[in-house]
Amino acid sequence: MESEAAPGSASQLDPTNLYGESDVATIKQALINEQVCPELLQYQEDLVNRLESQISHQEAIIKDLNEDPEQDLLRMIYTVELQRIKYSLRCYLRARLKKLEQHVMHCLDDPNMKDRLSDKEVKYAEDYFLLLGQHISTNVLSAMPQDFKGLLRQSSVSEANDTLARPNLDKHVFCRVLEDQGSVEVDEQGETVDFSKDDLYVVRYRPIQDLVRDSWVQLI
Amino acid sequence: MFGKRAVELINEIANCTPENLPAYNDELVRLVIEEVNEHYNQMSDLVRSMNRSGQDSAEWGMEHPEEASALVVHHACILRNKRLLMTYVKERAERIKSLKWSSRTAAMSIRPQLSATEVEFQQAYDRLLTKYCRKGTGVGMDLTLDTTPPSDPELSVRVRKDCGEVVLPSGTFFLKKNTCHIMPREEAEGLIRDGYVEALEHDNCLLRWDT
Amino acid sequence: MLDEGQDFYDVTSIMAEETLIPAVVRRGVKGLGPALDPSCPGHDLPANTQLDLPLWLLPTMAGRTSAHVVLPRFYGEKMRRKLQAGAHCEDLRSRCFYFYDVAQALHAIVQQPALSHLTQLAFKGRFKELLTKAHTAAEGPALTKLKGKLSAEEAALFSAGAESMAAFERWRYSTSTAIRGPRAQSKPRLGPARPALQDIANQAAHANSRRTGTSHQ
Repeated sequence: MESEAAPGSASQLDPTNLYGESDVATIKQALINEQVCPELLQYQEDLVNRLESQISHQEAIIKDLNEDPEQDLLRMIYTVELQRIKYSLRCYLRARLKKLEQHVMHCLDDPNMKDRLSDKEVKYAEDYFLLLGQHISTNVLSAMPQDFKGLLRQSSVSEANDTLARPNLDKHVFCRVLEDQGSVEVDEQGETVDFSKDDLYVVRYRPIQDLVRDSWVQLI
Repeated sequence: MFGKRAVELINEIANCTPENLPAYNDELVRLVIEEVNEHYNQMSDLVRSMNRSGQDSAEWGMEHPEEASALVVHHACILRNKRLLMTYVKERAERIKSLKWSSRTAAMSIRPQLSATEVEFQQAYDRLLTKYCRKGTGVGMDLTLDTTPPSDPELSVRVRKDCGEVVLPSGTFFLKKNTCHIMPREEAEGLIRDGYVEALEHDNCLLRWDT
Repeated sequence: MLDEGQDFYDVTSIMAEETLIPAVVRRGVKGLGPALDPSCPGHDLPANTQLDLPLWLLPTMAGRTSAHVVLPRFYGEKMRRKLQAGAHCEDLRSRCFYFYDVAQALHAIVQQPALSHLTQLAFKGRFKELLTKAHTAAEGPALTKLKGKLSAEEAALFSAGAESMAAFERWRYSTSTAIRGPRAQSKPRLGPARPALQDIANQAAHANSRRTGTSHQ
């Protein structure tokens, strides 16, 4: 991931392909973004699908090479590469799962967030929420007096769901600017900072939320 | 002072290392619930006297400030105790979950510390995660592997306890205590995590597994 | 509704909310005298009693009984002078283990500028030494002494710094490929209330451990 591929021609304005990076480099960056970012990001469905088919392709190649002892070294190299890709992919899914569990109700409650999940993640979140909710209900809530049995509301006079955790978007993150952005507002008082290509910053996540989403800035 | 028992519950977990879990404290949980009910009864008495007065709550509060204060204190205490109990149960569930991610043997060894519902939770979480990792219903990869990034695709391991013949995708191993083997990292990881074999720090193992 | 980043189930904030804060209740409370104040002779708590209340009960009491919060001694004028003279010598741990968290919560209730000045003074005066030591100091009596003075938030910052350094050294000097047992992962427990620097140090720890992870290519 450290090796930056040369940016593509300026006319190619699809930000995901702008740097001509391979899927392997992209999943690594997606993994790092996901590990560092306080909120759950958009699930990279196409990327994961492509990687999965590449993995099974490579597995087939390795199987063929297995038959031939002469090709031991080549098989070894392919296996190492395959394991590294699978490792990155697993880490990516795992990082997402951890955050999903942490903010499970927020992710299901907010349609915007729910859109960012894969179908399997939605199912997992629903099952997980049910499981944890039931566990807390049987052990605590069922014994609480009337008006205090709510899982999402502390009492029946609560004005809104007041027990759900939401991610802290004001967390500080390290980021690298991928493309000149001009001045970016970094706080509510309107203070701006010039984001130029290859700059490194420590900023709160909130002001750069959209830049991360659109891959103009990457988290490190 | 109110809420002290519930804090004891939280303290029990907070003072315990992450890999460990104190036994589920049934008795203390019951006492906290009793405390909640006591607050609730007193609160209900106050609400009844407010209703009897025929005044609305603001008026009543103006006329009986001391009762109104007691009412809000009872309410706050119920919420506090409820939050602490929920946190006790949830924090324990989090520990049970994280053991599933780190080690199967540790997950089994804390069983005696769990309540019946916690054992159920552990099993249900196990099923949920397995389903998510399985092909078809899930992503088709065991996400609980990988404690470290891969470097060498194969790994030398020494057997720590006899497990007889073990059939792995790459072949059959006869795992006798203190023998050394070389096996694919992915397959070794599960065995290491469960304590059957240990990885050799340096590749000084001459005993090559014969194909 | 909880504020963003606040966690209903957060053990640390629960513990911090147990801190006792002196207050004077302007109006009495019926029936709860001895429960709220062990030295209360009667059944009811009389008006204008001075007592210690846990932080979590403070907003309720402040609103309903117009309880007047007395700033605890560890946020007082004498403390300010001590911090000014040498912030790094002060033992915050024994004075108030959750020094910054409690200050933040209290600030929401009393809104005294002096309080925020004081905590800033404390943090600015202390973090430099704290981070340097976290990165360089070896275990020993001096370090134990330093650690004995840290508040909970500072201790978390310290271990994040130390962990990040350890991860860096593992990466820098490691040649071994062996799998070790699962490392204890530090749980990110950062609320909005904490100093930004803690985020940063934790991030640095993250970044370093990631580097150790991906550099064998």
